[in-house]
Amino acid sequence: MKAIYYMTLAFPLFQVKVEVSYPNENSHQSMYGVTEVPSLTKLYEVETTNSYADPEPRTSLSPSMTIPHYNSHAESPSKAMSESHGTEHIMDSRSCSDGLSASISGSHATLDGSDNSTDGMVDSHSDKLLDALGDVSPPPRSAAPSMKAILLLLEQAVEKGSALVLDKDSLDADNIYQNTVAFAKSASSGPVFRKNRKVEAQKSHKQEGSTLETEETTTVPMKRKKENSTKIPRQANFDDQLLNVVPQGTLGVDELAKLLT
Amino acid sequence: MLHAVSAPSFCLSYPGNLHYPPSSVQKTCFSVRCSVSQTKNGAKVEYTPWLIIGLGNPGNKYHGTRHNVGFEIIDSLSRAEGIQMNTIQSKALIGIGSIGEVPILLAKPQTYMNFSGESVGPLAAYYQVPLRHILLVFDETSLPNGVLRLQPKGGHGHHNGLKNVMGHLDGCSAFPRLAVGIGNPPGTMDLRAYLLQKFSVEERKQIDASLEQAVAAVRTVVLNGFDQHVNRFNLGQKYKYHKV
Repeated sequence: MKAIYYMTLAFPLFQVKVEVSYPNENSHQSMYGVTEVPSLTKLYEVETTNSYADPEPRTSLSPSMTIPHYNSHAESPSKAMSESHGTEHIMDSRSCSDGLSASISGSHATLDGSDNSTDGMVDSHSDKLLDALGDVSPPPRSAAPSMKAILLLLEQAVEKGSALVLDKDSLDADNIYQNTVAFAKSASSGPVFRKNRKVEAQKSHKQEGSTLETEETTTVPMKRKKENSTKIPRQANFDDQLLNVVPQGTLGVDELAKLLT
Repeated sequence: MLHAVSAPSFCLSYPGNLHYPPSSVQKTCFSVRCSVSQTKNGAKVEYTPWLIIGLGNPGNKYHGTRHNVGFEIIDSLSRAEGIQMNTIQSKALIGIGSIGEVPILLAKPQTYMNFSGESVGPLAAYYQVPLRHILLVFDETSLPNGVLRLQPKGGHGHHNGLKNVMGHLDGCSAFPRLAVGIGNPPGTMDLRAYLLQKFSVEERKQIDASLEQAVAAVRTVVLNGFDQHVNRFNLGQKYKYHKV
């Protein structure tokens, strides 16, 4: 009663607010007031300040506190504006989370929470962009089946001891060479690259039954016969050429002898 | 006066509740990302891996020499594609990554130039890389300094490293190669001395430019194969330093 009396004497404007706030003493009504009209939120703030005023009656008497009081009045419309903007965010935040408990302090938490949630949304948007840029390249590489296969082969090689992963400190050219030499002495030799295996593989695919095998075996001697036959006529040709050349030479000599005599 | 006293306490008491909404928001964002990546995975096509090998001599002693231009190309590729080369296998320093969606395996043999095949053969066999996907990068004295040439196959060109590689690939030479021109030795200078010499200032500039071009060329080959673009690239390289 005394507090109310002092309020009326010092600040005439509060008379109207205090009188209006009496019907809104219930917490439920105050919650509705917060969500519906910004003016009611001001009245709600008045109630909370009254509760805080009781334990500190001496501070109210000091003249220096009057200026902050006026500042708080100036801040109230900005809060109202933030509240109006933040209503959607409040709903979003409530839907995302399990739901905040409804209470006097809770309402104020949501008010400030809405302001900070807007900042959080902005940060999350920027994070989305950064993550999107960063995530564009890595998933395709790691997700590709052939890429996975190669990485798996590398892991297997490391596990078996045929591959060695170096530290960042030992990535100097000389260190790399020394590590390579040392590792080559202990590691097992790698597989040998052979192209003939593919040919053999093709043959194995072609061989569907025993009949095919017999056919393949029969074709080989045919090739050999052809090779033998090709050699013979060449030799014959050489002999024929030689035979042709000799008599011509002898005739020439005879003719020359006749001419000389 | 009473309001002034109570206002700060309101602000101070509420930060404890600020953590709830942002975390829930982040969770929803995370789920969205997962769904997006899943759809992308479903649409992927499998590609055969490439083995890209740069020939050179190991150690800091030979760093930057003409004969080590193959190593420099591999270093440029690893930087451009974000591939970390930190694994030793089959006497080679290797790194696994991808160009686009095609997996690639970069390798720098540590066996010295004349025994490079001891690394190439086992790596190709272990990772089951087909011969047509083994890209060999080496220096070429028959080309002017900084001139590049991409070929689907070819001979050894009197290059000892290439000879050894062919020997360890079952005598086959039908693998693609990227030749980097280093020019001819001047006058009667010994070829070996020329190969183990470092680039001059002007030559270094030309090589640095060609390194970037080589990275682009390798990307083209890996993604599109040998097509008209490669022919056009070779023509452009052939007349790169000719003035009209």
